[in-house]
Amino acid sequence: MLWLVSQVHYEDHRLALAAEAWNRGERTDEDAEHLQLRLDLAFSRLALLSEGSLGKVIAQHLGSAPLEAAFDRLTAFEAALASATASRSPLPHPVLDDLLDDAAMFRAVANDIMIAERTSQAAQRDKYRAVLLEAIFAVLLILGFGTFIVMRLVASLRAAARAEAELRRDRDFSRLLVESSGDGVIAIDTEFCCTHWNLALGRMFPAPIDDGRVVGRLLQDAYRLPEDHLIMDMMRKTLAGESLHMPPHAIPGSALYVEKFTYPILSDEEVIGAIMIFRDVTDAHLAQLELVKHRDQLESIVAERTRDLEESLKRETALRELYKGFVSMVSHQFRTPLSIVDASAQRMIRRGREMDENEIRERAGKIRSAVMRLTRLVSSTLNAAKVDAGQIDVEVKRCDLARLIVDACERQKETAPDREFRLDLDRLPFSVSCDPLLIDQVVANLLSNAVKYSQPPHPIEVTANVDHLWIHISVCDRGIGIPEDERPKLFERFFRATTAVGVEGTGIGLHVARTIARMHGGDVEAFPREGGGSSFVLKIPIDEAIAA
Amino acid sequence: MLGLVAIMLSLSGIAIAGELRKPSGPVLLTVTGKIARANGDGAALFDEEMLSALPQHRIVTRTPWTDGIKLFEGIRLKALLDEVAVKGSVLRAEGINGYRIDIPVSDADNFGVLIALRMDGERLLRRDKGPLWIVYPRDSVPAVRDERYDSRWVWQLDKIEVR
Repeated sequence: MLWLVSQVHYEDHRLALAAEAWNRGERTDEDAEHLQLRLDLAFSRLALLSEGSLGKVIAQHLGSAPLEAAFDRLTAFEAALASATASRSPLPHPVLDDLLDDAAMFRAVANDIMIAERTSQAAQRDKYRAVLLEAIFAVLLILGFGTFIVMRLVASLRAAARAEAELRRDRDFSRLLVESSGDGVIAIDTEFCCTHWNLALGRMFPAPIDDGRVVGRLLQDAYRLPEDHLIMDMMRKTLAGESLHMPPHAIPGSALYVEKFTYPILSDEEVIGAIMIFRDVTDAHLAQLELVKHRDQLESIVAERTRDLEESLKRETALRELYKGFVSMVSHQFRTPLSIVDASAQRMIRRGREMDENEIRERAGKIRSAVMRLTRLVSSTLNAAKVDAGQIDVEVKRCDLARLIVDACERQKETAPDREFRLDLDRLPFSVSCDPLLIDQVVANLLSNAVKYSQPPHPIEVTANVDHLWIHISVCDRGIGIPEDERPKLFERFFRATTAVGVEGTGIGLHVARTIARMHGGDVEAFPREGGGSSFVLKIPIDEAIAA
Repeated sequence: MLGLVAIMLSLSGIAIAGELRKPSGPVLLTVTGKIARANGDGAALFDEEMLSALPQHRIVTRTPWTDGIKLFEGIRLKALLDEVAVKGSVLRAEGINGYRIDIPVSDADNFGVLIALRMDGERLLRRDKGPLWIVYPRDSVPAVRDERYDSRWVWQLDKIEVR
């Protein structure tokens, strides 16, 4: 702006100088042209001051009046120049003076503007300085904040790095933890992607994939599990929040017994995965099986012992029964002869010398017969005790069984002369292997029974039969017979049939007979006889059978 | 055949230092310095007719020195530089009053700078900012709305020295 005003001042001066030169006499066409150029330029500078944004500023400083006055004077100069050019006469002085006045005026304006601009520039500078200070302050503030933020950033980065390192350490430790577990461990996230897996599980269930890397793969891919597989089911339930336990069970296709546990992995009460633990309980399971086996063995031993005890008890009960039978037998059978002896003795005391020889003989005879009866009872009881105690040895020798039977019948006849014996012994071999003394006892017992329990005139029949294994000797009578229901007990010690009441006997004879027959590998059996009576059969094996 | 020769001649006219036509009227613009074509003592002189013969263009813009929107008409600076086959990179433009400034040749390419002969249809006069005024597209190109570019609006332009 100052430049513009000074331009006007400058051009006015140059026009004035050119006009002076004209007035001094330099009045060629070229000079006229030069004057015209200077005038045009002076006009154009003046026009600049009145136009555009600059013109407005000038108007503020100067007002429009001075510019208009300057324009009028330039126009007047132009008119003067036109006439002077035409007449080649000097320019009039007042016009020149006006020009110089304008120049002076513009110089003064330039001064004012310069001072005003300088003041305004100083004010501007102050403003800039203030703004600059503010800016510096702001920058410092920003720098401060920036430094703070950077420091916080560095601190948080460091903290993050520390946390990361700690996390890694934790992760390494947890991996170590998982690895050092003897149990198989596998964990998945909610997408079934495996996050943990240890070698123990790998040993139990090798993953059927090439590189063996289970972590990072989907569970169903790593182990090729179908969607409906039991483990997939368990995992789904676990991800739904359940903890499951599967008791020990055999793994198909291996000797393993495995127990499975699953637990959901929680973070802030939200399920973020599931862990499954496989415990190899094969050893424990086998030990348990062993235990069960032992228990079964023990139970069977106990059962056996119980059985033994029960048998012992039964034997004991049987013995008690036996004892009772013995006592009852003694009380009946021993008392009768004793009371006969006692009665005879009392009679003899009472009668004294009044008794004649015949009566004494009769009484003594009765006493002797009762003593004999007692002796028989005692000997047969002792005999039976011997047999039961196993104190009798069987001395097998060759003997003539037929002769033995005939002798026994003869002896029986001595006590029962009124009885008839029908013998049929033709089929017997000449010699039979047996203990003759013992077999004689058996035969005598059977014969005496037949005599005791049957009445004359029915004969007693003794028949011998032989087949390829056995010799059967039957002693048959037409006596009182044996009730059907008592037959099984007939051979028990001290047993006496209800039909035998009033007949002398100990209930031992048949028992001894059977025991002796069994010692020979044979038996004595009783059968009812058609037409009444009983039939007792002694059965002993023939030589070959014994030898065998 | 004739056409081909004409093309070759016109090409060579630019490529080699062919002579420019001599001005017949008063010289408005003198271009000196590193130019390949001239019409008198290494300088290219242009009169009104020669300038008017070049393609005419227009720029509509406001200026700091005028009021309102102005329509400028004239020739492209680029066309003038091509006419003289310019070889330098800087133009030292000078006005009648001795105002001088350096303008990069690239401005002519980048902004379509105009050498205006008319404003709002009126011939620019020496008493105003004529006869030639360098005009930048101040309104349409924001990059030139700047005091450094404002200084390149040389009015009363009469000399260009290519350096």
